[in-house]
Amino acid sequence: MNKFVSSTALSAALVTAALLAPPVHAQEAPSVALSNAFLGNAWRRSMITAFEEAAKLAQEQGQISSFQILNAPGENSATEQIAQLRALLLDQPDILLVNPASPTALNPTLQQACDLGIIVVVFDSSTDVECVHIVTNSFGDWARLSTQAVIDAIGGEGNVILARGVQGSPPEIEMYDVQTEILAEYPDVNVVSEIFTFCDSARAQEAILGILASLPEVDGVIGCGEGLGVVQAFQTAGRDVPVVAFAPSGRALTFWGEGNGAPGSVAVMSDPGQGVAAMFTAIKIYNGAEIPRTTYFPPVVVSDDARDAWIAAVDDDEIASWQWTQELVDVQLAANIAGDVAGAPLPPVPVR
Amino acid sequence: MTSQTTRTNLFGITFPKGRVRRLLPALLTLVALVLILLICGTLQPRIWSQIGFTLIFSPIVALAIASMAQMVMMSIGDIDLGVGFFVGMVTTIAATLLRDTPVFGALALIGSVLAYAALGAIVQLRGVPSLIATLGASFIWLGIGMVILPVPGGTAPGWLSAYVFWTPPFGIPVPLVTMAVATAITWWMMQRSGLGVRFRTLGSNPAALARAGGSLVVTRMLAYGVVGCLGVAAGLALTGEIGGGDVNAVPGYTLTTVAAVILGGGMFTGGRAVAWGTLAGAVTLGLLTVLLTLLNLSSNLQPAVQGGIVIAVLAGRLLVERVAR
Repeated sequence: MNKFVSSTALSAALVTAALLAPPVHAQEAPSVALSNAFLGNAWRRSMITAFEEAAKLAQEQGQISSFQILNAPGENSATEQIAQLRALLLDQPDILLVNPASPTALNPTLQQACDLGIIVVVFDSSTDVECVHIVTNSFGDWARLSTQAVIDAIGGEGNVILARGVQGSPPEIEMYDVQTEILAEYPDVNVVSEIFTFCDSARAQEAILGILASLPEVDGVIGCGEGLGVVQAFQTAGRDVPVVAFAPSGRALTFWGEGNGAPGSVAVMSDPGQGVAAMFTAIKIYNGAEIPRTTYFPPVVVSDDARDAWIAAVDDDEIASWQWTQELVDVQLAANIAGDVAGAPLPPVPVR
Repeated sequence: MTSQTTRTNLFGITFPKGRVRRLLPALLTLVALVLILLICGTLQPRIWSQIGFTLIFSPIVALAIASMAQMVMMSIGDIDLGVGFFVGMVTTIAATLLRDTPVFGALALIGSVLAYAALGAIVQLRGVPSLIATLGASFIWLGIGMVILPVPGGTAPGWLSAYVFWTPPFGIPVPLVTMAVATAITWWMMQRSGLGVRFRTLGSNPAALARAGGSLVVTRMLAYGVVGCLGVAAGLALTGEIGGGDVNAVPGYTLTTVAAVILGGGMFTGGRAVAWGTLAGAVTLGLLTVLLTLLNLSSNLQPAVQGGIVIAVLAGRLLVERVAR
């Protein structure tokens, strides 16, 4: 309820702000180009699908004049993406959205794009180039949402395994800090083991099977989306299945919906809809709104009670994504400006 | 030997058969290149300008020079499976050591060229297949690059960025000039100097080289050293392009450069040096990305179209070689 009131207040504030801000390009809708570094996994494909749907709608409604989606060939190659971006610069789109192959290698090219007067928004990554806006999910939020859900589900006490991400990577370090911070508030939650699963289901299954025999009763596994493998490992060993964090892929959600995973389990991942959020953010910037250089959007969270609605909305080989609209993005941007991202309401469950 | 040169008849003119076999595949690739460029230029007329040429050709410079390195390697009958990570390693050196302490950075680059020469000695003296030796070395390059820059970063030396983004007067597109100069030097060395003759003999008939009094070890070390030099040049070009260092920037170069040499008329068996053909091959492969971008094809079709074009050119080469025989 509280959230509701604050979100209404925020959107009211934003509308006023929008009325006061001078419209810069209001005369015509911008053209949008999205450059994606590669298409080789389910997340990227879901990102492109979500963007295609939203961009078509935005074009029909006149929010943008045209859009193009470009996937660089190769395996996440920065040089291929540079070549692609250079060819795009000749086209001079009004807005350039980039899901980059590398947080550094594109810098000179992005600077060139800015110099040509193009509004550049990088999403799902970061960059040092000053003129570029960044739309991203915070890994801290991801860790906070999944850890809190598991702890709540086990009632704030019991044994947990801490499943960690990619060993030594900066996101993992950020997530681990948040996890330890939250765990410190719950002295009755006992971490019986820490394993590195790389947030990957198959690796988690292997790692858990290796240590399970030596562990006492496990009530929950705090992790970052490897729930499917964790549940399968416990089932193989004939142990009671704990509360886990799934990846919100169609396959994992269906598996969960079939009754696998203890009640209170959760599915969390960075949002493939970030491309859409970046587009609406860029349109705001194009229309002259003052937006912070980096804006945070929530990761996808699927809770127990919303699970079946999500299963209906996500295809088997897809990753669930928020269905961003200009209104929802406005609310999130207002929360970013107010410095209260954690308090911003989550978007509604998508309907297809 | 020359008196017995067999000749082939093409469009009513006779040519020495060897030269036809050597040049026809490259000509075919050149035709493909011109076609792709014309299509690109029709789709996006802004290409026909200094800024347009600079934009679309500058990402190809590093690939073209790295392909020269692979071409030298293949001319002596070896294949380099480490060139991708070597170029990546050079970018990490250039973006850190070379910028902060130029002398030390230059020494590090010279050291990496010497390491390449040593690799050549290992291949020759111990009889290790070049595939194995260079693949093994690629992990060393990767490791060194990781130590220098664990995460991508650093900054390109100012003079390098300034050169890459330089727009000289008279509408000269810098990337085209860089590629042409690198190719011309490689061509001169391979076709016009004694060194090139020794390299090619090592590739086609090492026994003949040994009988003529040439040292196989020294020749192979020199060839690997030249490969190292070209690798360093490619790495420097790439550093300017990406504005920093990343050892994982171009692992794909390893196989793309082999494709460029083959498209340019090179052979896996060695003995053939095709500098200009390799340039045409590298530029064709590089322009494919531009073409696919401008065609605005469905995302799912792009990789298939890219593969289809390469196969079509190679199939054309097979056909042309049969006709020329």
